Amino acid sequence: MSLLRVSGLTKEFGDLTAVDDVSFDIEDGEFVSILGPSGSGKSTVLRMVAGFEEPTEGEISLDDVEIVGSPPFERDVNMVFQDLALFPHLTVAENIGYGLKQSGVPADERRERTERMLEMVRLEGYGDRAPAELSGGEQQRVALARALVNEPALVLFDEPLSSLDRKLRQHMQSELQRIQLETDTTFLYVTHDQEVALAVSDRLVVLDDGEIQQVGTVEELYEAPASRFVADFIGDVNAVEGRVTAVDDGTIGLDVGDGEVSVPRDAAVEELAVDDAVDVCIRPFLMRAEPAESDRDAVDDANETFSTTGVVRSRSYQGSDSLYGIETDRWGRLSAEVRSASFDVDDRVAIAWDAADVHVYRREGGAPPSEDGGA
Amino acid sequence: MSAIDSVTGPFERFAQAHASRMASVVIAAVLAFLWLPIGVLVFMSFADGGVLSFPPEELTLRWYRVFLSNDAALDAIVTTLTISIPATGITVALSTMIAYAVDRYVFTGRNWLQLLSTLPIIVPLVVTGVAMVLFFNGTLGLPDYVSVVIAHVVRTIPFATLVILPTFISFDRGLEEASKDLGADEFETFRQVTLPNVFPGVIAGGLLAFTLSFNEFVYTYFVKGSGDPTLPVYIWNQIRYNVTPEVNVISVVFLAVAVSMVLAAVSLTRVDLIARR
Amino acid sequence: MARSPRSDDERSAESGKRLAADGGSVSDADGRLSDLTSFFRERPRLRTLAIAGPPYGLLVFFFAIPLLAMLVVSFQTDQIGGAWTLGNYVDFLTSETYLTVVWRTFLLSVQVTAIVAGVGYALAYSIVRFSRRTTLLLLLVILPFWTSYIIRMYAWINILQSDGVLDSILNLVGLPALSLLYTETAVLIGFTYVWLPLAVLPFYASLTNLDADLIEASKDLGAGPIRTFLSVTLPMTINGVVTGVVLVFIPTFGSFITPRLLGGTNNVMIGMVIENQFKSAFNWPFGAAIGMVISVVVVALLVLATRLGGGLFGTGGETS
Repeated sequence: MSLLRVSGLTKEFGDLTAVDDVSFDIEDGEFVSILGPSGSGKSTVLRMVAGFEEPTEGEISLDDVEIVGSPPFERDVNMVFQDLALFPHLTVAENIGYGLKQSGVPADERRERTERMLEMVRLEGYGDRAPAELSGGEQQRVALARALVNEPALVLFDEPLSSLDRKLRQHMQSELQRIQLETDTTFLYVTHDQEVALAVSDRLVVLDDGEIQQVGTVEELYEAPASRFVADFIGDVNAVEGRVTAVDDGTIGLDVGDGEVSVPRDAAVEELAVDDAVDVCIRPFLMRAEPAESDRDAVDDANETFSTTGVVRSRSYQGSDSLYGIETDRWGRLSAEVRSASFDVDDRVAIAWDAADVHVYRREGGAPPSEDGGA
Repeated sequence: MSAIDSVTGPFERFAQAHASRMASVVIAAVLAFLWLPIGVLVFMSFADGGVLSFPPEELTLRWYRVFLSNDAALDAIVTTLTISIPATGITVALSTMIAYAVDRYVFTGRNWLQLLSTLPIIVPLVVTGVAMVLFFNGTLGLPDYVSVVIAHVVRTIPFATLVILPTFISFDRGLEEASKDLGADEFETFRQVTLPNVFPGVIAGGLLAFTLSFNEFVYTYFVKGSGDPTLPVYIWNQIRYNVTPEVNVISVVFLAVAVSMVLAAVSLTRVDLIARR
Repeated sequence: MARSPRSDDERSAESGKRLAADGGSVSDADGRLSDLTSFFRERPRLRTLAIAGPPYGLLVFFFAIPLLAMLVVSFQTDQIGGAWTLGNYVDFLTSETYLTVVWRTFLLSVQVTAIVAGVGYALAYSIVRFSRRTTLLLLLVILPFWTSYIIRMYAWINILQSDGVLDSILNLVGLPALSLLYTETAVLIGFTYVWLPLAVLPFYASLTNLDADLIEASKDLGAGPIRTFLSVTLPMTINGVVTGVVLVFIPTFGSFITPRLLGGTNNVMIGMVIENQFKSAFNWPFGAAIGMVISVVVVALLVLATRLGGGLFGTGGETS
């Protein structure tokens, strides 16, 4: 049985549909992130779970109990707010003890549990300070402690780490994972930052324009993105335009400019038909590149390899690998991630990748729209 | 820079070089202009010779003693307080309601409410004073006391609202959500979170309302009948008909009230709240 | 310290406890108030009415309606409830004496407004742009505003009268006495004194809101401080200026205390005429009619100011 079950959730603000028929489950003890660009409706989903917005349609159940319609203060969930919302007129300890006070926990037990929480988030001795006296990272910990101390069934996070610098954010990410394991609490984390989401979550819910694009583990999303959007949003991707020339049991034939390539049938998540316009997507790190002798001879038009030549236009150093921007002869600008120091700008290179590594999506606007998406 | 031509150039350079010094001169001159008359009053309240001589021959507390034994003046203070205190209470309650409604709710007539709570500052006092005496005394036949208290409320609401509204607007409503998320209902949230955070602004609004009401003259002058004058009306009569040196002392009383109230208000909020509309 | 996973039963028991505690641990009075809040939660329109209604009602009934009542009375003969007439307006508008008073009042108000706007803006600009102790200075500027108006006038009587403070000082340095009291100069000084703090507030607010980067950008692009002031600072703070002008002109136009105390009989202003109708001539309808004339001038000015873009009513011009 799932701890949180969201089904058919829809929220309309006037004419605008912020959240459109969203369904997903969260198991007890999971760390799930809702990932989406700003305006994708992810915060609205969170606010409906917390009780700050009423869904236009749909159900939310927590522990198999329907909670739509019950006010936020009666729900067994607590939230870590985007701007943290620490009470400025209360001390750190009073902030943390606030929820316990509301549920009538006696003062000494309150003190004890608050103390334990301060320890958990490594803020021993900070109880009597005002929130404003704390650094950004310390305030994050207080906000987290304030939610956790109530031992809610589910803790919600509304992008609380977005205001921190990269270093501190990474540190807080690992702290979050530690604390989640220690407290064995279920976390639902909303963010636009794929790096955070990939780092901390067991599973991801990718949301765009109010609709779910894909739900799955980090690996599933990265290795088998259900749509061009997901592929783009989670990690970098190159896209090559093509057209379907043949579909049979095991393979799909693609016309990609000049020459035809066969890709495995399961490279496409949708049913494709001959003449569909498609995007052929490939991760930069799956591309091979080597110096090109001359214009054409490095191009291997083997049926199961994509290959072209091009000129290196840019280079961005990323440690042992570098990302090279290559103006290709066949497909415009592509980026390839290969060993650093392989090439200089203006070098001619030959690049190639295997048909087995690509994902094929029907191009938006390139064919009649179909609604059989990934979710 | 080439953009500065030869005609205006010298002026521009002069302004650039001496702006800071000119600013200091302006500030010093205006502050002197604003505070010297007040200094003169304080000084003269200790003057032995009375009103007309300056500088006085010697300093004395004599007029303070005269003031303290002057029942008419003391009665005027009591009269003023019996009006100002309830008027302040009513004003604070109503201004807080205006601030809350304007900040929180979208409703038909919201703009009108804001306009109505600003207009008493703008309509000339004499016009409103006349309208009030016609309506309160003429049409409604309200008792003197009630008329004056209402008049003071109308007079002070705009200023109190001006101070209280920004504290509501700058209050982070996310705190209320956090409170509800942590298990407090609307009432508990208001009591434990909203009120403690807006309270300084409300008190400051009240202190300024009180100051204004304590000084209120025009409305009172029109609306109030001939009986027990408030302190400003008393002093008006003194100045117009028979100036005695104790008027200087009463001035110092007004000054002390204003300074202490405003300082208290300012220490509770930030002074620029009063400036920000 | 890893806790063992809680069973579902435990958890529902806990959320149950929270619900029970909400109702049980609070006092009866709090409980009733909580009931009240949930009553209003269900009825948002009633809640708005309960909160906005009382102040709205008071301002309409005791401020707006009296002004309308004044309009009605101004069309009555020399006593309230008298016959309907246009006589008050005819009398007023055909009397050369009164029209002279209105004209003088207008001219004086324009002068006062110009002086206060100029000095006040210079002061606000100096404080915002060139001073670090803004809060203290602003406080020192507005504090006099909170003392009694009459007392402030009284201070100037002492300073300006023959053989008063000013004359004594002039005497000490060997200059002739000025005896400024009961002159137009005295009235101008008095008004400037009372309105300066009030006008500085909107000037200060608009100057504070002006992004200092814009001024630096202008200078970076080659404009000197004077050009920058005229082409960036002043246009961008025009709302504050208009608000300040309105806040000064209107009360000056309706004032009677300052001209009465500092201007004497040679500098009669229209406010004094009204006061006279109520305090000695006892012709209330005629006083009401003059009040309406003032109001018309004021409304005309407000409309003009709104056109010029003064953010007078918080939400701006769309209110009217």
